[in-house]
Amino acid sequence: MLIDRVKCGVCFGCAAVCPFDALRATDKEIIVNSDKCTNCGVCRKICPVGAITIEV
Amino acid sequence: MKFKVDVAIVGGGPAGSSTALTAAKLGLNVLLIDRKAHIGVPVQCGEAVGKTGPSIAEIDIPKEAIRNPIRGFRIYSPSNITVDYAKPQPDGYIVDRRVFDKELFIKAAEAGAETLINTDIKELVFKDGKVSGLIGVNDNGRVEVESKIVIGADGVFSIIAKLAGLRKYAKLSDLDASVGYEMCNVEYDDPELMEFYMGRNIAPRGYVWIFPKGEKRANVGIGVGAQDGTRTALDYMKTFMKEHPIGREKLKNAKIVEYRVGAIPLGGPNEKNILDNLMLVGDAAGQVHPITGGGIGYALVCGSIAGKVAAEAIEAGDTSERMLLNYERRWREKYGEEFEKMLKLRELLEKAEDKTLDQLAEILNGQNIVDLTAGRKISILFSAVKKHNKELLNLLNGFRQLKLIQ
Ligand SMILES: Cc1cc2nc3c(=O)[nH]c(=O)nc-3n(C[C@H](O)[C@H](O)[C@H](O)COP(=O)(O)OP(=O)(O)OC[C@H]3O[C@@H](n4cnc5c(N)ncnc54)[C@H](O)[C@@H]3O)c2cc1C
Ligand code: SF4
Ligand code: SF4
Repeated sequence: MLIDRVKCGVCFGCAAVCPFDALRATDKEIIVNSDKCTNCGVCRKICPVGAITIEV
Repeated sequence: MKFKVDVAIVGGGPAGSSTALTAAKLGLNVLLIDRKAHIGVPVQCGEAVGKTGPSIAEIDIPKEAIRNPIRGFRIYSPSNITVDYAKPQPDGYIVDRRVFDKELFIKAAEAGAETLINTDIKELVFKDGKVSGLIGVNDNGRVEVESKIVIGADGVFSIIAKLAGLRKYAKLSDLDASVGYEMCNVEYDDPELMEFYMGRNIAPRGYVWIFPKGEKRANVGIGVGAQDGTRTALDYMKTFMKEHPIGREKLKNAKIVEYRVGAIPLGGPNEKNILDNLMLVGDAAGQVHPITGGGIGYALVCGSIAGKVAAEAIEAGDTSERMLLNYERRWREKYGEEFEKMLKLRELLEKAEDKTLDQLAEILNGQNIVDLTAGRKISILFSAVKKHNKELLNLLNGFRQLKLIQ
């Protein structure tokens, strides 16, 4: 899972829905724990601005 | 940095500041923590207060934050049938959240709460299996807080709720994705009416709002349900501005002066919001109206309940879950049933086709909508509903099952 930092508005939506507890946040950015991320794609569906890409 | 306090509050939004203000006034030793350097910024909100949940008589709105009085609303159905509600006197406000949140934060500080901004809380500390404090970081390094009670008022993605095990993760259907703008040169119908635009192609599972801030300025935004990943909230917003027959005209000269992205929690409250020595308040607890997405009023009222219960618990020398149950009981007594009903009502409305929503708009008046979204019964002339209109009848029967029709 990759976040386009330019598009991202730090709304915390992705972090709130991640079923694998792979995301943490500061008030300025979302931090991805790539060990936990399964690339399931759930977070992409909530992103209001299309900032998330899922690697395949 | 080390602190030892009665109550440590994570989050200086409306929920945290309200809790802090109440607890400090009652003489507790309070620490109010936020990771932001500027309380209230960025704004991720429609900034409407008083129209959802607690009335403006029940909450203290900082005068400095009021931008525009609101007397009611106008809803545009998918085919632009309008439903109006307008009171003679204002019963709500559009506020400036930057000023609103900051003023509340200052009031808490003036009442005696210690403040710690720019401080990101990372961990809950447990002692003998019970919450005993927090660990965070700021520009001075590590921050350790020992406290009798921890309050999680840290918003839609609450790390406190997560670490306490009170919320694992939200279902996609429990959040709306949102983008919004502050704009000037907006040609709204009436500066004292909030405008809502509904429809599957306009804002699936949500709505577009235009909230007047006076002098042709407005808070304009959209909330949509989670998508399959092909269209985003931003796409829908842009389409509305370009193509909506009415919205387009109102926004044709509008200029964007601020851009916001947000996630609106609509899934209703967590099953449980307390542990020994811990309470969750506001968005962290899910205290948000599941249809309108309004949460400011609930955050203020529930925060003040939490502050009072914290004072009672500390005075009694008992901050156990059993004691803090008083918080959970009192706030649920006020709003529990309303949230439950509204969750079910939202499900019904989400299933309804545009055509059915248009027909609904034809038979409902503004007062009906106010009553429905407050969980109060309305009376409808079923004879006005054409017999052959099965979808509408089904929807109304759903309302009846929720005891929303007399
Ligand atoms: C797009 C959008 C539109 C909305 N429109 C309206 C509306 O018109 N009317 C209405 O009533 N409600 C509206 N709401 C809901 C409303 O904004 C929230 O319900 C309200 O802000 C909840 O207040 P809170 O104090 O619980 O959380 P927040 O206001 O989110 O405050 C949480 C605070 O916690 C801090 N924090 C978080 N994590 C940490 C940490 N680890 N360490 C330190 N600090 C932390 C944050 O910096 C933040 O300041 C809207 C929400 C959204 C997203
Ligand atoms: S792709 Fe799945 S696991 Fe990875 S961050 Fe997104 S929701 Fe979490
Ligand atoms: S959902 Fe999108 S905009 Fe929101 S924080 Fe995640 S990547 Fe950023």
